[in-house]
Amino acid sequence: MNRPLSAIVTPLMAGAIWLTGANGAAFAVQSPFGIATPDSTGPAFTGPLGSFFVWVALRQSEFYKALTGALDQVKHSGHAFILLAGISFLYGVFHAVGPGHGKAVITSYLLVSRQTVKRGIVIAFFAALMQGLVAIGVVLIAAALLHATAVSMTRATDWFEILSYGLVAAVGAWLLFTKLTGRGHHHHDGVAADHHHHDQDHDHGHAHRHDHAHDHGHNHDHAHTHNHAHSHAHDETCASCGHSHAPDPKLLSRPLTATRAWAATLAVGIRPCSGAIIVLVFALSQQLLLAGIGSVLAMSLGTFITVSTLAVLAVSAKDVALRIAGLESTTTERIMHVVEIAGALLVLLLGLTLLGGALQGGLP
Amino acid sequence: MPYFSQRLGLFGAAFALLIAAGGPARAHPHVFVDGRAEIIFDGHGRMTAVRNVWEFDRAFSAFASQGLDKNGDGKLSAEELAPLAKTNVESLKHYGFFTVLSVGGKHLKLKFPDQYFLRSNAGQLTLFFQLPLETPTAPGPSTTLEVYDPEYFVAFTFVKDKPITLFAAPTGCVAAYHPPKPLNASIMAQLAAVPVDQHDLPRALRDAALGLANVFTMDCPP
Repeated sequence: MNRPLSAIVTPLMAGAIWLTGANGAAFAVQSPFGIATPDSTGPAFTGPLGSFFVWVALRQSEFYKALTGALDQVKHSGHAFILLAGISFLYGVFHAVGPGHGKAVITSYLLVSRQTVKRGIVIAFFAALMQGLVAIGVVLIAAALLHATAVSMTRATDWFEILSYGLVAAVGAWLLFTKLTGRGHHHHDGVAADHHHHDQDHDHGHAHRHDHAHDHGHNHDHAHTHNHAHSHAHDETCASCGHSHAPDPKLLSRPLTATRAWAATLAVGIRPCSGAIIVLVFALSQQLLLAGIGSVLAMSLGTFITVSTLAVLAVSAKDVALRIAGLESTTTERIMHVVEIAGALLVLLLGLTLLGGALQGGLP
Repeated sequence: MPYFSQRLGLFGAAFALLIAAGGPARAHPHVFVDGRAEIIFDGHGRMTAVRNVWEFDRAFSAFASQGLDKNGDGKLSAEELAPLAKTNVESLKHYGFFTVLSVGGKHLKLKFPDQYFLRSNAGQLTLFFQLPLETPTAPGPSTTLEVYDPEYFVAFTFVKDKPITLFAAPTGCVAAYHPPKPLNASIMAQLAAVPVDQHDLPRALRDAALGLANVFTMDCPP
């Protein structure tokens, strides 16, 4: 099992080093003009997807120009709003295809905490929506109500950014803690499995008890007996529990998991995109605030499409890989555990690095 | 289990790629600048300063102007714009003002702007600033001025009509503008790997950089 293990861990570690070490020099977050902080920092056009990102950057640049142009036309023609919404949507799609820490956090979170595809889509939706709403909120309050300057708006969004990075680190630390201590038995995050042959109510009870009673709840620790009445097929691995069954919506509301899911959503969504803020203020200056808000919501929808596609791809790819690798194997389970620890570590390091970069020049 | 190791290895690589794909980056422009450049000479035919005139796009101008009309007269006076101009140049300092002047491949040291101001015209802001040379220098056999943001947060284009002006240049000095070639992916990848503050690019990269940047070349009779 050493070879598959290294096959997984090596690229992960390489990724971690790429993210944190090698590019540290370029991490200082600062806007060239002191206003409108760049969406994130570091070299954009490196790595295996470098040329793809160049292409994306060029498309974004075009869409952004078209977008501000369409906003101008809304003043003269109502039909232009359809055009504006369409361009904004595409801009959102491309914006999210480009590099950004948000997708790294969401996909890592989904994979590490063994989320379902459905949950991934929900998280992607709220993260994208929140990002748009935060931008709208900032501009409504700061610009429209308080007549704040671009400098103070940038300072406000820089605080959101610091908060976002802090949350990324916190989510990473939390994931790492649960993975290392076993408190993150994936029954908590995943869904009760119907192959346990008990009815739905029982499933809840089962899942619930795990939340509180089992510190030792490692999925590969098959020696223990559960302290509930029915017996499980304990020689079965639980690798399938977390993702191969349809999620029970009620389980989404379980406090611990829900809090962590919200933390991950917040970590990604709370940081408004500079582009959205600029477009909104531009719209405001043209007395087209409503059109601007519509444009930003269309952007969010576009972002959602991209991020949820990525989330679905990531979760399904993992499921397929696991199915082929052999669900019954305890080795698979152990490797998954190592991968997840590495993934959690990566999220933590990413959060800390981004936070360090954002704080490099002092507090906003 | 050959499948096992192969598939899981594949999965590991895909996982890493996904995360790498989400890696941090500053990839797309939010500021579009229409630029003009000026080079100022002294009485001895030496270059003493570079002057940049950057007109911002309408959206960024609106954002930058937000809340600055203190007296609410609908116009932005030089006084109302002064604090923003200061913020602009003080921030640009960390980016080397996106301006590189070299003679014979050697970069000349540029000082902090001794003059800078913003003007507002029909909703668009224009930033003027003058970067004095630390040591006045005569133009050599190959004098170049480059203006660009390698990280592409600011997209620079130069005006078609007189993108560069030479002030009090020795007779016979001629400057030419070489607009950026369309972005080439491999060039961009190499370029972006170079930290912003490190401008001593390897020769091949330097040539590539010249393909990305707005480059002005100047020829003066010896």
